[in-house]
Amino acid sequence: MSELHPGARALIDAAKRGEASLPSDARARVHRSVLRRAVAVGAAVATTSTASAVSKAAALVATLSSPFAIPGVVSVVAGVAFLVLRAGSVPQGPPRPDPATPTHSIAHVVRSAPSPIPPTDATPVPPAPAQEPAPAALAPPLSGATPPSKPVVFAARLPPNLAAQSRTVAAAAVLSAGPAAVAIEPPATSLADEPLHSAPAATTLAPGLRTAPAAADLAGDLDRLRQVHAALRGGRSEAALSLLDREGKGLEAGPLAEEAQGARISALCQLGRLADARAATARFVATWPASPLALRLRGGCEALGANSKPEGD
Amino acid sequence: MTPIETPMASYPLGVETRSDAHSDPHSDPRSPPVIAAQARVDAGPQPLTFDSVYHSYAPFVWRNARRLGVSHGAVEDVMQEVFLVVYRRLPDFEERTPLTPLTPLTSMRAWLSAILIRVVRAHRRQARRKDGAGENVPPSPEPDTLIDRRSPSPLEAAERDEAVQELYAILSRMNEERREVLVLSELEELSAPEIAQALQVNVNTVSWRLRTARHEFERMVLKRRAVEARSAR
Repeated sequence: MSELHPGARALIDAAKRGEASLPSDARARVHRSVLRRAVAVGAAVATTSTASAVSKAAALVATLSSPFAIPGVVSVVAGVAFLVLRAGSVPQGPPRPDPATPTHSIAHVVRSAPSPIPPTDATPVPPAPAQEPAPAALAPPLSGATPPSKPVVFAARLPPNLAAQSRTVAAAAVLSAGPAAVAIEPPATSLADEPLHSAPAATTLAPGLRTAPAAADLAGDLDRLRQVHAALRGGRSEAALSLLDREGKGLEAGPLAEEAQGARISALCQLGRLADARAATARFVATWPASPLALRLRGGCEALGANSKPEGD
Repeated sequence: MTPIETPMASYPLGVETRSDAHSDPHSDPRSPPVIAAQARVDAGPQPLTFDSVYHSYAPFVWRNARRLGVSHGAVEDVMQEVFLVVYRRLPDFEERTPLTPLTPLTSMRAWLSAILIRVVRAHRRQARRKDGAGENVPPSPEPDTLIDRRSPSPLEAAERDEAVQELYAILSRMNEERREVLVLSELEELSAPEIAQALQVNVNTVSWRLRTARHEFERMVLKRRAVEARSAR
């Protein structure tokens, strides 16, 4: 119940009717940027918690995302996911007729990207009404890129017989962050604290990639790749490999072929099939000689594992 | 479930729709908020994901950032910071909020306001440091970016333009604390407990601050009216 003077009230009411609403391009742009930054942090946390390795992992995510960051594809995924989410959340907001419904799986991919940070952060959320202001406690939420205090080290979950391969598994964890970063933003030069309005709008779609089926295919590929990475991360290299074999045609011939091949090499390394890994690496390097991932793969399984040495190792 | 894949826990969005309908005056009028909310309730609890929160509340955060004096050029950065915090804290938010039908609406807006207020204050401090200027640099209203250009008739559009510009000009001249409380109360119609949560002060402080804010705002409106009347003569 307002106690404002009627004249003042009238001004507020008139102004509220005339205020500009959030431009849809800004809405999509901020959404992408937030997810990209969140994923960058999440990927770093997933690998290790040491400061140096965090930056290393973030850099790896950046390099992983760049080679196959086909701007159009990425924009389609992010854009369509945005549309689908809006279409899918009709009860929360005004219904907007949207033809993008066939691409529902895209939303799933982006939503379920392996990025959420474990809710174990020691810093408090904004206090309840009864709580007094606590200036020291207010600072953490402002630094959006601060890694949570409790790291996740995948190697710890490995069966003992795989302990020797823990480095490779951790590397796979880093690899798994790749598609998430890719799905969210085109070529990422700096994954942290990039001022949003200085970034390109990323709304231009490559010709031929504007259609929903293309986006749906890519979404499917991303989903499959995510499953592969989940298997790798869980130390289920055989499962990852069989998934790749089963989905090979679609995945390793599509826009994410490079990623899929990288995952295959990781799986082969995990399984100790070094000769196969070498052969796959040779094929990879021949196909994508300029890929930053190729630089790492050239070092063989050892180099791949050394990229993400788990904490305390 | 691996820790990294911990989903945002389930949580009913409940009548949140009301806030969105309220928040976006340009939204599709074919969506009666109450009916939509009822449909949502009937459909059972929906998971509260970052995306659902983002798409429901992005307009809320955006317009209040502008009202609190964030410039057009910086508002997207501020939104990014706010929603990064939301992304990280959403599971905590769920844990600490009781699952009653009404709390999602109220506490979500209060929670977002709390984050927004902190981000805006930090942003303002940073901008002051960068400028090397004094403490009270009024934010520029930038009229062209404030106004909805889709107004129906030229006359109505002109009146609205004027009101929007006037409101933002007044807000920009208000004391920061009083501006915050006025925006949350008079423009967003948050309750006193919600505002107390957002500003992290007690309810009595909110009441007192709101009284002075209303007084300051009214005084400035009346002053402008007097100036207009004098110049019209």
